[in-house]
Amino acid sequence: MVIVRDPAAFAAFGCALPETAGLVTPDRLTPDITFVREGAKSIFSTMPDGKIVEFWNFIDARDDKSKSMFPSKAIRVRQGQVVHSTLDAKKNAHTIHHHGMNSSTYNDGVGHVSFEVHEKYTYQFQPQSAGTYFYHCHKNTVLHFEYGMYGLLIVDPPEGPGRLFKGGPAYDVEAFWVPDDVDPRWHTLAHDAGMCGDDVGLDRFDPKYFLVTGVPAPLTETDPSVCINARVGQRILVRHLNASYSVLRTTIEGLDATIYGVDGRPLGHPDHPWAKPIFVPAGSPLETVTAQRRDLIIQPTRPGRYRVKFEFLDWVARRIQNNGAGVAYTYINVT
Amino acid sequence: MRRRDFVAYGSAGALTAAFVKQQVDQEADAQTAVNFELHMEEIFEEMIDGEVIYAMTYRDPVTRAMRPPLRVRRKTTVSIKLVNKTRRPRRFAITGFPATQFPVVPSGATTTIQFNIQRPGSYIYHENTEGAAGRVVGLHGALIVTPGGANGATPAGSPTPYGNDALTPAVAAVFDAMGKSDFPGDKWRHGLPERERLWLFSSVDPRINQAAETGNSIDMSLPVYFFRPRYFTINGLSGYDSAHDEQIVPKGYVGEPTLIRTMNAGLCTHAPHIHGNHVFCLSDVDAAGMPVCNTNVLELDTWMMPPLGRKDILLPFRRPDEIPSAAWPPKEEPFPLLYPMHCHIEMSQTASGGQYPQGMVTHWELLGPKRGADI
Repeated sequence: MVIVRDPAAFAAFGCALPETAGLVTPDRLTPDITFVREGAKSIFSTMPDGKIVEFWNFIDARDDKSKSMFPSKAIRVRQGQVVHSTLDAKKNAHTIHHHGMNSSTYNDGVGHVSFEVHEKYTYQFQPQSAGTYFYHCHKNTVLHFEYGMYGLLIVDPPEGPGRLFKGGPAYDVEAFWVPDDVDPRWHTLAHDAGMCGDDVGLDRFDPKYFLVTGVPAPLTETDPSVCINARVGQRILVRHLNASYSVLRTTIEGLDATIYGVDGRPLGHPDHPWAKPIFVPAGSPLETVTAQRRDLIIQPTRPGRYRVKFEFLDWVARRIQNNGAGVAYTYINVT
Repeated sequence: MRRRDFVAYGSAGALTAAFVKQQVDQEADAQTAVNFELHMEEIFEEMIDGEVIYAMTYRDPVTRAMRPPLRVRRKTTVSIKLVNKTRRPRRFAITGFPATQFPVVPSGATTTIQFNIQRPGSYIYHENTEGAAGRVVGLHGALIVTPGGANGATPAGSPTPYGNDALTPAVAAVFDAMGKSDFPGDKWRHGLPERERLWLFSSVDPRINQAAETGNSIDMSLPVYFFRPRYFTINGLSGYDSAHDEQIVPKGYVGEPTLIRTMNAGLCTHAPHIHGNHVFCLSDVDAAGMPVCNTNVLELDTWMMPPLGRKDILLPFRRPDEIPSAAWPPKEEPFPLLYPMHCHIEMSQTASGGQYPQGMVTHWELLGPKRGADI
């Protein structure tokens, strides 16, 4: 048996991807809600050791705060809305893949099966399942995702925030844990590094910094955007996305949790009788791999300061990254 | 591009096609015994970028298929004639079996082993005389055990790939849901090769292969042998090749659910992520390494695959949920709709340090809204 590869098709698979200029969304509908994200904007963040690391993000030009946000500003919609999410590629070519949205191929944002965006393209989709998703650039994904080109995508039930999904658990406090790891060597590479045959070392990932929702450890222990404050009896919803390239082990010390959503799909919903909520006893590690989402409900019954540990494990040996330093902590403060 | 040419000889996937078909046909018979022959060979194998590296393989001497999937019915007496053509002793192993159940086959020797498996499901066969060393240089393959006949069905009569005694209510509920309101179309069916795929993941560290080429012993626990993979494969293929291989790529219409047996023969933990449909995670392995039906079936777009892990997933071939109902079926966007499956621990999407996305990636194709429909 002999496989004969078309050289042009082989090249187009990674290196010489089709681009779009002026492509109009096929089967375009009138949207219920619209978003525009420009990319990529460079952000220079100072790590705890003083080293400055470059990140890239998507920005919302109408929101100055989004220009310095990492992860990128969240997209938040309601189940059933027709969404138009426009990418304005201001610098180089990019895409937006709305991860977990099962869209048509043109609206899925994967360069090598559709196109990369050099100017503008509007992605169209209509979310059908409330839960936690994210969006990210899917051009040279290995590098652009590591550079930080991602943000959360939240789908609320039709009634809006307050419940994870229609008929699902209500919550009083909403929090976001998005652990990530950073190999600073990767953050010096050009946007198309390695796409056309060069060995730029993308097989070696040696993270030195460990972040939770954009905050590097150990600042995660005190930063108010990561720490959770709640009162006894309140229900906390934690939307947890593993955005690292590690096997992530998350341990909540002293508090039980229950998973009610995985990858945007409800657990304990009558239409999904095969899937039940998952109880996570206090102190039990929860392991996730890159891109997995878990929606946790925590309802503290006693006041206290509860530690949460994120251990970033190497994908081969499952050793804690950076010679054991790849750990981040935060706290749930219950009054 | 360093690729030397655009011709690759000896595609494992293509060569195994006839083999799989033959085995599916055998299932239809009342099978009480089956014989296989596997030769352990030292070979040179071309990577996606044109590099040719030393490797090893199990080979079927008749079809010449490398790392052939072995497919048997449960309780069948399986005999495998093992011919060791390599320079070192080799021991055959099966996940879930005691590591030393089968004898070591000396270099140049032939041994026939015999066993039967009670529990239907997905297994990996591999070499284990030096831990994972033989496995990661290519001595591995898939062993698929089917329930056979009427044994594989839910109480409501929906076909499943599992024995009735091992089926959980959750897995049964998924198979019973196929063909109904949320999943219009057909149920999953036994014996249709197009409704079943194998995605056997692995990875290659050329330094380990070079060490194996010397013929010396390899101790993978030593730091010098720390595994730093440079190539990432599905059924032995990468990137463009794995995305275009007929035996890897699922194709079908809405309502044609397909079972995909995902297995990981490599040393990395992977995070397969599928676009276009969420999948049902039907099975896992227990502490002893035996396949078990899940008691809680999660709908996932990303699942964890540790080394030697096996997870059967059901790709429902449902209308992609988020295509707006007013835009279905698409009129301006052509079928087939094309969706990737790739590992999201993205180092696996590279080859030799770059060349994204020539790594562990394939596609699935949604051919249309309904078989036979005029779009």
